[in-house]
Amino acid sequence: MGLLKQIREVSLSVLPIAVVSALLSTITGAAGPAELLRFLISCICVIIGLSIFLIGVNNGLLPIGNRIGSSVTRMRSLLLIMVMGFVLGAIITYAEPDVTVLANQVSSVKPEIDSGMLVLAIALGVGAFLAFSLARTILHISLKVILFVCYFLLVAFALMQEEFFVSVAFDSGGATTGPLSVPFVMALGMGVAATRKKDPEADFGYVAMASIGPVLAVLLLGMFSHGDSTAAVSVSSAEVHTWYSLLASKALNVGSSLAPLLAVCILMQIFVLKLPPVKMMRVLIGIIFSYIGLVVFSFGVDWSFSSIAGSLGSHLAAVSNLLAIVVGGVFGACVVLAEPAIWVLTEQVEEVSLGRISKKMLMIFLCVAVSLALMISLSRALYGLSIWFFLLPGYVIILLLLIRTPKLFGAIAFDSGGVATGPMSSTFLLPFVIGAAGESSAGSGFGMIAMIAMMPVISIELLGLIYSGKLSRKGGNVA
Amino acid sequence: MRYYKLLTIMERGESTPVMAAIRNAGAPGGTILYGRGTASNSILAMLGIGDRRKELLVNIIPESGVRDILSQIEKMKIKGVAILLDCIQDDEETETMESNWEMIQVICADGLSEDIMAAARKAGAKGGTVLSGRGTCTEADLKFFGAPLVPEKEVLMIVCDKGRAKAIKDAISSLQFLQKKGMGIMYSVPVRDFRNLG
Repeated sequence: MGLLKQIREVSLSVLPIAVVSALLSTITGAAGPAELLRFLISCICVIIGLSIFLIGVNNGLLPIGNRIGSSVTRMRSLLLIMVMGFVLGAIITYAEPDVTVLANQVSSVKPEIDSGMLVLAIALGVGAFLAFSLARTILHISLKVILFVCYFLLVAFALMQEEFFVSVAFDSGGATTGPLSVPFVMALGMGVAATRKKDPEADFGYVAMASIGPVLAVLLLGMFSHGDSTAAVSVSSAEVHTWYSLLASKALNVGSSLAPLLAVCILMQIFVLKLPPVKMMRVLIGIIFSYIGLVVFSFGVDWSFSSIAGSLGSHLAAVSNLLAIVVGGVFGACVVLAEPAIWVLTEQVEEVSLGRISKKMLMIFLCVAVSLALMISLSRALYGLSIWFFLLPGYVIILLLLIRTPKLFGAIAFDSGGVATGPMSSTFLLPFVIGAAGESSAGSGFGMIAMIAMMPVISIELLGLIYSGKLSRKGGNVA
Repeated sequence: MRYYKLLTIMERGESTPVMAAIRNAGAPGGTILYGRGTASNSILAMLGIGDRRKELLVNIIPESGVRDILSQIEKMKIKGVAILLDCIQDDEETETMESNWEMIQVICADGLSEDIMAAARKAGAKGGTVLSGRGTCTEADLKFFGAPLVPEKEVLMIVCDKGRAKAIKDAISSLQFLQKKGMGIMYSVPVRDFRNLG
């Protein structure tokens, strides 16, 4: 049966992170038996939650997003497509709890920025760029050119800003690509792309565009508000929750980010799609599954992952900095395997490429990338190096590689940058780095998110170059 | 020499070892397609937890190799089915053969296969395999910014014993949403040999 197979596959992916952290906590004494038991429950929740979520996404959000995209394209109105992209992008983002949390954090540090205003800027940024990326597919404008220009602008804007705003900007890019919006946006784009089969880069790149939007929007907002605060990014303090209040808050959070999606799907079904009854029930049940799965998953992650990661970080760094960095690298590699949006992306790539670009291969490259990203940010935090030492050369490399990267891989590369920073990295890796760095350098959190968003782009671009190199020797043609 | 079309449907990732094994038994190269196996009963299908990702291996094999190749496939520890279909030979009389199995294929608009499968299941079908594809466009198609809009399609394949085929086909063709013109086509082909694997 499909469900059991899914659970087995997911378990194998969650196992590394579970075993490594449980073992290390026991050896270093970072966690007692009670915490370990709690961690075990967490891991089971993560495995079951992620499995149910993935099945739900495959039967619910992906097919309906696809159908919405292709049905609207069939109406043959560019304006309609753009309006749809804008409205969908903006409301999904507006309802995303992570974005609200981020905005509240920002305005608590910088009172002159209204949090409502920031949420609006981020939502409009996503909407505008989603509309823009759908129009790109219809009008056959090269995605590579657009990505090149956008990232060039992004780096240029970022260089002009104080480090604080850059951090908020990158975080907002990460916050908008949640586990529910990623599959929906991806499927919407694929639905539009399905009607124009000649364009090799049309199937991907929508998530990438949707996560550039808010970064640029926040950077622009920053230009108009110059304060002198040198405050570091505040990381949400680990509140003490009882299990039922945590579960309830997760149910509410996931519910509020799902509600607009569900409303859109129901409206589209009634007025446009008119799917036959069995299919409709399947989609509906799929959406319910993805809701339940995500609630269980995020409950599991929040229940003990951050506390165990934090205490591990500080214990290891107390022994030796080098040890913390090496272990961080291992964690980075393991965490990718349990990130929901990464699963969705890699499975879709495998499906679209008919197995030519296998999920396994992408996962390996992503693991290496996030592992390196974590080692870099840890050494940065522990030895106090400037973020720009890494960020600037990194983006220069990205732009240079993009020129030679095959189109399809370019789109996948930037997508994976957008999806690599999910709930696992913010609840496990972030506390680990902060725990290792100690209270002194709370700004290290920012460096990490930006690095995790950057390194996968480079690694997938390299994968693309390797692929095209191999094929051109064989005389083939890479899409 | 007569040739047959061998269609092996199995779990993802299994077609490479299968291909290697049957190559030794005389099969020339094959083509791999991605598909989805439908759930074994209607409740699992509705819940969406019974689907399996499948791989289809298509080989055109000579008559002389049929026995070896089929026994090779059966020796592999895989879960799936092997279906042997006739190819028409131009220079030979096509013999009408007695077969106990029939393969029903429905090509329909994307998103309809679940409901078609549900109807087929009610009429006695055990399971099916769904492939995704796109329709060919003609010059007369409506264009949108320089390119025609490509129709998305699904292909549903159901193998059943001959006795049930008629009931299944009737159930499918009486579906409400298939009454509109251009929603899909259905045909069936005789199956020379059919093996359940694993």
